[in-house]
Amino acid sequence: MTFSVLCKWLTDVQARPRRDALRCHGSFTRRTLGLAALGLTFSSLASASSVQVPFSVQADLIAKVASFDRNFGARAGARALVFIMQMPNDAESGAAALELKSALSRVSAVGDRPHEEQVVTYGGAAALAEMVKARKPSIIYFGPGFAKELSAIKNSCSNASLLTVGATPEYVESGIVLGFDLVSGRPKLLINLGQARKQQVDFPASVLRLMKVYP
Amino acid sequence: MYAWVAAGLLAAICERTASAQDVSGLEGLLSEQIVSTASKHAEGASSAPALSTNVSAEDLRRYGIRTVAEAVDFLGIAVGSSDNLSGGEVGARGVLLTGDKGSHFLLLVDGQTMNDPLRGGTTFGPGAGIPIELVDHIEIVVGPGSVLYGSNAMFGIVNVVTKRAKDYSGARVIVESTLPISVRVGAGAGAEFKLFGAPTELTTQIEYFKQEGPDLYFEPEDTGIDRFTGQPGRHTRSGPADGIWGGARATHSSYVDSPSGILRIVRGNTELHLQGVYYRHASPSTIGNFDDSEAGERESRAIASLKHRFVVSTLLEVSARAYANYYSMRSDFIASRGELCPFGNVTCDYRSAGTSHWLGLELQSSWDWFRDSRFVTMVGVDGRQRGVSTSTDAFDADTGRSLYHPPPGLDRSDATLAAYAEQTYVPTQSVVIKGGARVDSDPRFRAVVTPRIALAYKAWEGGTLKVSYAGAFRAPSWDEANNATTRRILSDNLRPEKVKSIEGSVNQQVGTHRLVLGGFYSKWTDLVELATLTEQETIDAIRNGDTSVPFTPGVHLTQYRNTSTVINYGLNTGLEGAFASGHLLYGVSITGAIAERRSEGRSSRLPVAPQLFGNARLAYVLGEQLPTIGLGVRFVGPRPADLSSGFDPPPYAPAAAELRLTLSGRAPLIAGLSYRLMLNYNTAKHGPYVVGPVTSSLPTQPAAELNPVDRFRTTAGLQYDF
Repeated sequence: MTFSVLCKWLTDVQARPRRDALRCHGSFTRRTLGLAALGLTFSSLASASSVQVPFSVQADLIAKVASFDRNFGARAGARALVFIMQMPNDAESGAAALELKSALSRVSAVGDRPHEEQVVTYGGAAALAEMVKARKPSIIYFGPGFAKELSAIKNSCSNASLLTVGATPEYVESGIVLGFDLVSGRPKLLINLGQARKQQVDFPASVLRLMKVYP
Repeated sequence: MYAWVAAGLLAAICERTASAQDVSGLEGLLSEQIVSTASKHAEGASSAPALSTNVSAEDLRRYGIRTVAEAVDFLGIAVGSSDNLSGGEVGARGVLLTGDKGSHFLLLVDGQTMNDPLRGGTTFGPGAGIPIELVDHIEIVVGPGSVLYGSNAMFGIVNVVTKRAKDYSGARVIVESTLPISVRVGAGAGAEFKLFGAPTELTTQIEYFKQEGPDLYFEPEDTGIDRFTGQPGRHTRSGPADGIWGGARATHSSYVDSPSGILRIVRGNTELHLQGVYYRHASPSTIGNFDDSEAGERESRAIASLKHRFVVSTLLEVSARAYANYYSMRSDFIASRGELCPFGNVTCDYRSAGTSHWLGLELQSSWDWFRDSRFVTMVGVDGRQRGVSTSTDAFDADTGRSLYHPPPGLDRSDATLAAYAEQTYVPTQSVVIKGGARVDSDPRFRAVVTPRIALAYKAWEGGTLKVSYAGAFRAPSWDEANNATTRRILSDNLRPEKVKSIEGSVNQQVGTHRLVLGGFYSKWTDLVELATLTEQETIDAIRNGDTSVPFTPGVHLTQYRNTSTVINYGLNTGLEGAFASGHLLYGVSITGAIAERRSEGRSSRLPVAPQLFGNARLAYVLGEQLPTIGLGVRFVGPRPADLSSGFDPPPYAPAAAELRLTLSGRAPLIAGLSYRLMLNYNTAKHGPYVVGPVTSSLPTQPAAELNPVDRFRTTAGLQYDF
């Protein structure tokens, strides 16, 4: 039992049905072998840039900055729904999603509203567009691991009333509305203004003044 | 009508005020300093388990900062440097240990240790080889920090974080001169590209710093009759034997030569760091000959590290860091006086040299047990292979003839192993508890355990209370513990120095304004000092063959010993912020500390270290094309000079303030060209170091002479970005 729990801890990247010990053992072995191979090649892993701004600070900033979005109230209604996307089979993405979810859960209000956050596994741009249309989230957060999907995500989210947030500065240049950077040891907000207009995100000039603006 | 207008105005004001307050709240979040040194992971400074502050790249430029030493002096809290005319020294919270060569601070560049493997020393001045333009920010962690870093982090840790390529893209050339004594030229670049399909970034800078001067005037010191020759001593190679040292400007012995380079490549989660620096400098203030250009030190450092981090699962993150550090040094001490060079009418060159290296591998894992960052365990091991070789000699400086058989040098290698663990527990939204310990095993000493426990409590809006208990140690260097020179005998069972500290602080953030107010109590034990042997001990050492120096009247021998304890307590405070939408910036810090040295049943105030010191700064950012005006002041209270026990009354350095006015901005008309102009003025004529050969009162020279200060300088710098 203990081994099973330990095994689950080691292998659980995303929420999934409980497995029996044997399957878990197989997965454990595969992951261990994968880890060893990864260690041997050492630098062969081309992962996304690591997230520099702590998730707790990102959560505070998301909660605060959303309250300045003139359309956030209409978008969120009584309760703000936040989707935190994770890339399937990407441990770093999964860890980041859980960490941000935990950090957001400790924030009393997002955009001055009660809120609910859900970790969602990314299933492609089309599925994302469908989900946005069907469930109408106020905010979608993209952690590490989405660098190659940004163009498709941008197209999926255009014309929806939605605040997309990216964990790293590179995401904003590629079409995520809001992002974070660490400059001189302090967090910095980045905004893609063109995409913000398409997604009906509207910040006053007093807030834009505090951001690095990408046209 | 009027009532409606008044109501409208009131509503507008209220709305504007509310909006301003809201924006100030956001500004407050954006001005939160993010630190990563104290816990080896990113966190807000207010909840870090030690007093942590960031010095930003913008502040470095605004206030005309050129070195890490200036950064801590003008912009840090509770840390200060002292210019001993030989590379400088750094202390914290009222403790400064003269002659320690910077070995009580751990200096990191992007997490790589700069302290050398031979003496554990480092320099915060131009010899550090840290190009200031490449610095993104400097994290200053004050207080014992061995729990995650091991030896040397007794005062704290200074981690210089370099810029990422996105913040340093393109190429640039830099030229800066402190007129007319120094020039620094450099070239730097940053680029982002794909390497084997993965996003990769590169940042680099090379530079060369050269200084000739300042030609400081040294008051004459009369050493009287030399005890060896029976005649007045000779203090220059070819000068008269008149017993006079100084009495002139030192025109040959105040120089620095320092080329350096740094390269950082980041590909995905893999990071390569390479750094090299050569540092040649002289000292015009030694007890040897006056103004001899050959007296001084040459140091070379090379540092390489390769780090890789990977997230295994939502539970586990692992990182591995392989690193190498090479250091070589050569020191020349030149003396003609008979007491120091008892071989007739010759000039002695006492030369000591050494090379050392370490190769290490650090593995670190982070276990997020419940996948919500509330209960995280960090465990790490750090294994290191070390090697050292030293030599020492004494020869005729003019002919090169060896004067006597040198003592054997060191040629040793060994391995050390350390393990550490720290637990983070976040029981509620407002409480963070961290506790951990590190065990360092060194074959030369018994294993050392350094603990830390810290609690941060967000007690009210923007307010955080912190309390912590931490320990640190410094393993005596190879040079101190295992090496002898012609004039220094081998130490006898040196023990690691230790410090234990308890501290508490209040951090308050209001908008962009941040206040830190803290108190601390520290106890330092087994401090290693270079003790001068008594005459009887000297005779015994020579008789026992501990040195090959022949016995002559007045000969001085030394030995490293665990001699003293220091009790240190006090308060430190810092306040910084911005007004006028970030155009007007200010900062102030004050530290008041008592440091009492206890040795052999006697108690005395620690020399050189001020009981009151701090800094203040004010800058106004006029706008895009207009200059930024920055005024920085650092001040130190009066403090006893080193070696003050040899004089009655003991010499004191007066209170002093150093003011720096800086004008910086983009040059008009030429795109890509920017400038810095600095005026520097020091109110003090003398610093806290006894200079020259008279280190205790003589009938011919009853009073000490203190080191002169270079009081006024102008610096101009240009940078061209391609």
